[in-house]
Amino acid sequence: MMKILKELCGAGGISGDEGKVRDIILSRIGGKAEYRVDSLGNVLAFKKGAKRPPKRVMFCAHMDEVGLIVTYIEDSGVLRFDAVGGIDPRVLPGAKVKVGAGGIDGVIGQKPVHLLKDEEKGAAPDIEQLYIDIGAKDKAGAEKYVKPGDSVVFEGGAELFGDGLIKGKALDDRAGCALLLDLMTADLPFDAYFAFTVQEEVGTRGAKAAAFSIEPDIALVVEATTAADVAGVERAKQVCRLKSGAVLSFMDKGTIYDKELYSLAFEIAREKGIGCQAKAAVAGGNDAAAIHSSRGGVRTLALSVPCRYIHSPVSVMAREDLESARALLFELAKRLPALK
Amino acid sequence: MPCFLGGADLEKRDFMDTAGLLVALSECCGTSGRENEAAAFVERELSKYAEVKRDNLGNVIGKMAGDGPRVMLEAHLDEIGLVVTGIDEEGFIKVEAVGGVDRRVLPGCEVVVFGKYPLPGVVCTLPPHLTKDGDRKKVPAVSEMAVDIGFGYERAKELVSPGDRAAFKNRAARLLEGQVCGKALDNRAGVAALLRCAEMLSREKTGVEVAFAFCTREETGQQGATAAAFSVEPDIAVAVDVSYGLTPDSPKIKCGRVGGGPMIGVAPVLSKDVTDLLFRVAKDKGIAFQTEIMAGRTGTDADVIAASRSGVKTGLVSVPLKYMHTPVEVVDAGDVEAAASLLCEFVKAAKEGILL
Repeated sequence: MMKILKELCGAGGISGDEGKVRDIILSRIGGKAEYRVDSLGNVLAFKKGAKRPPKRVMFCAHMDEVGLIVTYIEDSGVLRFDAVGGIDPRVLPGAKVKVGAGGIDGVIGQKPVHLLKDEEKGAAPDIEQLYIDIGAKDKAGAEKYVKPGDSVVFEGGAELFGDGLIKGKALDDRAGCALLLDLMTADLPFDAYFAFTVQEEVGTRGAKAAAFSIEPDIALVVEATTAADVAGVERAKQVCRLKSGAVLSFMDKGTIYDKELYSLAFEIAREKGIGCQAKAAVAGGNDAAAIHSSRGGVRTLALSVPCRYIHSPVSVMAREDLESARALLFELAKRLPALK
Repeated sequence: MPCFLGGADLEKRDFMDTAGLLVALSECCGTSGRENEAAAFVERELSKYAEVKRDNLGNVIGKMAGDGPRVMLEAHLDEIGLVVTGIDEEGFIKVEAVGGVDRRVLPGCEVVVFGKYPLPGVVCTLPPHLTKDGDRKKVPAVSEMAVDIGFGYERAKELVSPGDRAAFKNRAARLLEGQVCGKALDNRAGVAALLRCAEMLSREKTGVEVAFAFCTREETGQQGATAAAFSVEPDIAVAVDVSYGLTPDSPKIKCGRVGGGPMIGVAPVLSKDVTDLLFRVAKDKGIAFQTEIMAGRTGTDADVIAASRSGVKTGLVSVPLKYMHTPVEVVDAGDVEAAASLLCEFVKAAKEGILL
């Protein structure tokens, strides 16, 4: 699992430019499932199980990550950009990035602290103030390598960290992709449909099309979700915690989840001794928003791995939570399709 | 002492190229007061050209024997970073700044904490939905931040102690057009210029007595250079540091152009004789240069060197650098090479004795 996760996190794939991630996924599912790439770039796959189930279940994870897009090249050779997906501008200054298809190294710069007025020193920048420096001395120098519209990703892969943790770029939602790939390589009790979606971070657009095509009765969205168990946050506001198991959502900003499925998942976790916690906040959103209201409605559940510093250049999750999510995912693959 | 960020392949790297030397130097860690990795690297390189020793404050001083005035060329070794002040009950590491860290870069920044062994860490950030509206535009004080090293309290306490240093963790890289980015180019750019200059002088056998001083603790108040200037007792000195490189959002008047050549400092605290000679040599030898005017002190080791003992005629050469005190400082390798040539030619001209 770590091997595939490293490979997936190392690939750059902002929303709308998920090709490299898709290639890795396709290379893993070739021969194991039937699949096609749809018009938006989603990977839609079908894996035959031992039985044909009463309910059609779609397992979903998104391929894209948050990042930046080049909007303008200044005469001085620096690149102006905008955020693709929800990025807190406070994590951008000082970041190292890869620009364009060629992966040119760049840095996000700003005026040196020594030249700031006192009141500016503690001020978070607006994204319009920031720019990427690739070393080009003027516009012509930059244009040899970069053009407006080019994708920009944070530099990084994934590695083991601290006491049983993983630190990496884009764990949201390469962790979900890795979990689904793991499920697909197993012998499944029932037929299952899989959607590796595009453009989640810019409004769950890929999932909308995927859900329409697959037409599931039930959907399970496999995600990474905000863990705020960090210094200075009181327990009640932590949303979820690392090393406390997989996370089940009852409601977020995009979806009210299916109550029965939510309770069933907790029950299964208890029965099987799988670590599991509720997402203790109505915050964020994911592909479920588009899926549950697709066509005539889809019963939808989200299963997430708790993740610190989500949407920043480097995020952190626990291996044991990934294992819990995996175990619960495998159990749900046995139970959800069999529901009446 | 292995260089944590450079890894085991450091020995194999090609330092023939100045950009390569800058990459290697930037990846050495050397937060003020814990300059050992950078010092070990410099000691190894410098001993190819000079008699090297380390003093009580960790300064690396190399001497090239000769006659004429004693010239000291100086660059500070240390870099800004963090110091551990405590560990909270969940194992997060509380820190304070060492030197003038730009705290705007810290949220979400990767660091290395030098505990029992080098521990990777991430500076905690709060998810946006937990940030109060009024605070979204604010960066908290460093003392309110914490570093996540991924261990619980008990283990963290075994591994990390108050006083341990931390440094930015960022691989240096070559950008386009000869520019290099790295976490500690302030002042490894100056260090690289001095090492290159030592190499040139050893080849040319100038016969001038030169001391190369690589000093500690500049970022915390220039204590290393204070001690080094006292022991070396030079007649003439030139400090080599970095200064502001022009970026689209910086005031032109305070900045040099990156790629435009080293900046020769003009300031009331600097020696007019040394400064004039630097200008003359640059012009005579066709070395690209820029001028940096400062109205009082320079904010570099030159300030303390000039006031050492009964006074030292001191000049300042700076490499223009973008994004000072962030993990992504940027310099032009050509400016570093030009600074080295300028220093080398300066030493040769100083031998003629015109300064004393």
